[in-house]
Parts: sequence; structure tokens; C-alpha cells
Amino acid sequence: MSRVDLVQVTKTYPGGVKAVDGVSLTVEAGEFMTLLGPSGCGKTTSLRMIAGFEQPDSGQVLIGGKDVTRVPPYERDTGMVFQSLALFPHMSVLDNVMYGLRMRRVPRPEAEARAKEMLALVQLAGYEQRRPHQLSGGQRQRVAFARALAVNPSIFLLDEPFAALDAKLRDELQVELRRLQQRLRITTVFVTHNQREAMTLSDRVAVMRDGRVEQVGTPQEVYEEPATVFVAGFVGMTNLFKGHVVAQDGGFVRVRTAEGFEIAGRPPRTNGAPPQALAPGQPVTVSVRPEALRLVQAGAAGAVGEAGAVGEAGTPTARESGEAAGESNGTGGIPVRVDMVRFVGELVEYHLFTPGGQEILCTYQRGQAAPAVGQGAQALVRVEPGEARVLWQ
Amino acid sequence: MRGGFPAQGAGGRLARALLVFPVGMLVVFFVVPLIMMFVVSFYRNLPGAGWEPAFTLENYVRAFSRGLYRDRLVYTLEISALNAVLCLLIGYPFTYYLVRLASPFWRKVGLTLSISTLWLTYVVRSYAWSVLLSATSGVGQLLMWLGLVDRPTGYTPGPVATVVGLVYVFLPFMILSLYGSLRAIDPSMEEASMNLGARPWRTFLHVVLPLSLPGAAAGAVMVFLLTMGNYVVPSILGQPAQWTMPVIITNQVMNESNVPFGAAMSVILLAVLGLLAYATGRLVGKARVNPYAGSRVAQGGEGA
Repeated sequence: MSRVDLVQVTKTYPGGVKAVDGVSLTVEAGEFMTLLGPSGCGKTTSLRMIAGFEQPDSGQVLIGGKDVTRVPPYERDTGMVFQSLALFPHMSVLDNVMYGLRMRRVPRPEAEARAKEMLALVQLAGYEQRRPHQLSGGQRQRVAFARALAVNPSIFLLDEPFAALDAKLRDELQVELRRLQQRLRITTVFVTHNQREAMTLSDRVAVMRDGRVEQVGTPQEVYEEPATVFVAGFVGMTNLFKGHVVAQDGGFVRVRTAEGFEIAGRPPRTNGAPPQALAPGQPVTVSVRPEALRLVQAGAAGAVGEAGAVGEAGTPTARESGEAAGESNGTGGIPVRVDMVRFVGELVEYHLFTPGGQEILCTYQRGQAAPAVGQGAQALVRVEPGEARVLWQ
Repeated sequence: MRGGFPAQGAGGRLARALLVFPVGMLVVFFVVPLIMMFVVSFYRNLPGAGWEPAFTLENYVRAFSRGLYRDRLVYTLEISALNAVLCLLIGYPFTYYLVRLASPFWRKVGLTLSISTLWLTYVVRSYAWSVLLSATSGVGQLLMWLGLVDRPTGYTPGPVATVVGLVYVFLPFMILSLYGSLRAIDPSMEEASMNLGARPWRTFLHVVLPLSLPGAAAGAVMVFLLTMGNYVVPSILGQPAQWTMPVIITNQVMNESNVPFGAAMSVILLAVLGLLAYATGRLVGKARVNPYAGSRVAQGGEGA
């Protein structure tokens, strides 16, 4: 169990593509850290630099506080699970799991005992003599875990190991992986482009883009307090409204969207720096999660031109909420047309369109009192106070 | 027939009709001559007057009883084995390097160049080496210029030239065979091995080598069999001491006009080739199922 530090690491591939661009990241001992991002964001290259398969052009890689930047992979003491798993097809399951121990010259009886122990840990006792091709996808995955962990490495590395599995199996193995990781208390770096996977597995998530780390934080932080527009859009579903600052009062920033509606939201994350006042007119983006939006019936009159006009035309509920919002944070509601209502099991999704044609997604949990608006209906959407976040553009 | 053509109806008949031509060619130009050769090998040779139909085993008895012919068969097997080993030793590192080239362009260039010599006939390539290895040009002069020898030495015709020529001619087959099997190894296999603590040479020994064994075996067998059947290289680059069975057979038929004896030796050569092809085919087939059979890790002999 050791910590990992990437210090100002940069890697440029021949052809001038900067795969990793000045990344600094610390993974605490025993922590499960996920590098999350779209393909080409540098997450796999970062992982491969920790494993020693790639050399950074500049910067340092530290494992347990020791500089291993120039140490070859076979002396780094990491256990890696590859995207293709890379199980040795010419060896039995037992020989695969024993491989690392044998390479470390552990005597055979001892190595065999340890390998069997690992196989039992991943619930594969009895499969010792099988060949990898005789196993199911999930079993192969578990052999790869056992093989990487059998040598008791100080760092556990995983490169999109679940990419090839179907959703149900993936879920099962994720739970198993997390359990394994917590049981062994091993420092783990996990690479994925699947934000759901990142959220459910990790202690902390590093969201990467174009070779840089955009935000590091707990899954909850990254979801609820995205630092950038990219993070807000990549981690979970969100509705983004471009606009400019009207004023900042109290804890909220009032933003007028491009379509002319007003939304109040919490100011951008400062990442420790003192809060910066947002000047009126400053262009910003407001991110509102689908579950933070509330849908209210627009009443018989339907056609609502502007947010301010809501109170007069709406039902008592709409009027009330419109007024309340208007008073508390200067926000009315956004008139929308209901384009589609989808039932997704635990969720109900409302696909909405603003008069200007922007699509908005609004979700209700099963059991929540969902408004009785059907396809084609006119409605108002309003933001739960404090749930919108203003982001620098 | 299942995939391309429907097995029944008009399509099936058309498919069968199309097959008549290649099958006919095969029968007329391959099967029939082979049978004729087999039959003639039992005929009696009439010195100076051709041969007469008969059933005699004297050709076979002669081929096995005379030391000369037996030695030639043994020599043919030896030089073929030597060539297979040399091609493997030269071809393996080269192909491994080629496969691991990062640029697909240079990989293709390398592969194309290394098999490009196949565009020329054996005859041209053999004569080219015969010039290169002669005392008055090429290598002989080069060695003297480098100060390695006092006088330019000619290597042709002779054993050195024969071996050089055979390696040169058959190396591309080895490279082709190895290329496919080395290319099929997922590079992350090697990374996984190194990640687990194996230094590069142990990674090679325990992962790359066993996984490429089928390709290496197939290449070696191919080179071995092709060398056994080759006439041009030993006859151009070798002295009589380097003549292989095909050269001896040609001599019997063309110079001695002893067709029945030549036919008998051809049948023997063919039988040996067929037997070896069959045996190695089985061996390689097994190796595919268990390519790790020979590894020390599997047998637990690797320990400290």
C-alpha cells in the first residue's frame, strides 16, 4: 500500500500530439482513484506511465514517495489488469496466477498455495487447471484480478477492464472489484470512460480532457459541484444554459440565459482560491441536473411569453411558485413544450423544448409526485433553489 | 460449397461444372504423371536402349544398397535440416524486430522487401550468388580489402556457397510464416509479463517464444521440405559433394538416361518428404493445442 504521485507529467507522442499535458495528481495510500474521460484524454497514457510502459518527456512519477520515473516496469511492483486482460493462453489458470510469483523466484509450493488462495478469493477455486479460453468472460476477468494481485503489489492498476462485458456482468464485477479493493486496502488507479462506473467505484475521480486534469474530487463533489462545463456535461446528464451574469446577490448569481430567462445558481467552484466576484455581463454557463428541475402545469392559457408573466396566467400552484421564485432569487420559470415522456423504470424522463428550441431533460424518481403533463402539453420548468451551478465559460 | 454456392439446384450444378477444369488439370498434369512415375520405377533399364516394361525391384535395391545414393539421401536430409535451423536463427530475430516496428508503413516495407527476392527465379538468384562468392568479385575481394584474408578466396562452387544460397532462397518462407504468428501475439501479453516482474528475456522465453512456436515450427518444416526438393541451388552453387537427391535424380534421367532408376529415387524422395510432412503436421497440430508443453514454468523447473 503506497501512494502514487504524478508531478507535472507531460508526454508527447511522435507527431506532436500531447497525450498528457502537465498532469499533477496524488493518489493516497489505499485510495480508489478513477481517471475518467473520453478516449484520447490521456487517462490510459497516465496509467501506463505509472506502470512504466511509457516514459514521460518531463515530470516525475513517484510510487510510495520514491521516484520511479526511470524504473522499468518489471521493477515497479504494480499489478495491472489490461483492457484485453492479456491472460497467457498457453498456460493454465493456476500458471497464470502463479506467473508473477515464479518470476520473483518464489518456490513452487509456496507460489501454488498463494495462487490458490487468490483464486479462492475471486471465487474460482477448482478452476486451477482450466485454460483461459475455457472460461466465461466474467471468470477470465477474475483470473486477471487474481493474477495482478497475487504478487501483492503496492499499486493496483486497471485499464478499462469491463469494456467488453455486458451491463449486468459489469455491475456484478464492479461490486466484486470494490469489495476486493476494500478488503486488501490496496491503492488502486482505475481508468474508464464510463462515468457511471467511475461514480459507483471510486473514492475520488479525476476527470481528464485533452491531456489535462479538469477536476479531482469525490464522486459526489464532481457530480454536484462540477468545476467546468466539460465536467458538468461528462459526469452525469445535465442541462446547460448559456447566458450572462445579471447580478450577484447573497450566495446566488443571477444569470440571464440567451433566450432571456433568468436562472439563479451558486457561483463557480473556486478550487481553494478566494471567491471572485462575477461582473454583470460576464458570459457564463449554468448547469442544472435533470432531477433538479421541477415541472409545473402552465394552466389553460398555455402560451407564456416571458418568465415574469407566469404569475398572472398560471394555476394557483404555478403562480405561487413563480412568485416565490421571483422573490427569492429572481427566477420565474421557463415555458416549455413537452415533447416526450419516457418511463425508464426507476425514473420518468420528460423531454422538453423551450420556445427557442433548446432541449431540456427533466427527471422524476419513481414515487415522486410527477406532474400530470402529457405529450404536447405546455408547461413551466423551474429550478430547485440552489441546485443550479454557474460555470465559467 | 456451403458458404458460396447453394449445394443444390442450378447453382450447385454450375459450381460442379466450374470445378471440372481445375480438377481435370490436377488429374492430367499431376496425378497421372505421378502414377506413371511410380509404374516406371519398377521397369527395367536397358543401358543405351531406354527401358522396357517389367516388374522388378532392382532399382530400389540399387538405391538402398549403393553407399553413394544412401549417402546422398542422408546428406539431403542433413543440409535441409541445417538450412531450416539457419533460416530460423536468422529469420526469428529479424521478424520479431519487424513485427514490433511501431510504424505500419515501415513494417509493410520491411515485409515486402524481405519477400521481394521471391520475384526472381531460383536460377537467377543462384547465379547471382555464384558471382558474388567467386574469387574475382564480390565477397572474396571485400574480405581481402578488409584485411581479413591475404588472397581473395572463391567460395563457389562449394559447401559455403551452397548453404548461403539455400538460406538466401528459403529465408522469405520462414519470415512469412513467423510474421503471421508473431503478429498474432497481443503486445499487452508482453507488457503483462513485464508487469508481473519478468525481465525482457524471460518474457521472451515464457511468453513470446511458446506463443510463436507453431509459426516457427511451420516455417522450419516448410524450409526443410522445400530444401529437400530443391534442384537449382545445389547444382549451381555446389560441387558434387553438395549435390542433393534432386540433382542426383536429374543426372540419372538426363545424363545417364536411366529413367527407371531416377523414377525409383524420386519415389523414395517423395515417400520421405510425405512421411516427414505428415509427422511434422501432427507435431505442429499438437503444438497448437499445447504450445507450452516444453516450457519450464509449466513443469515447475524454473525455481531458484
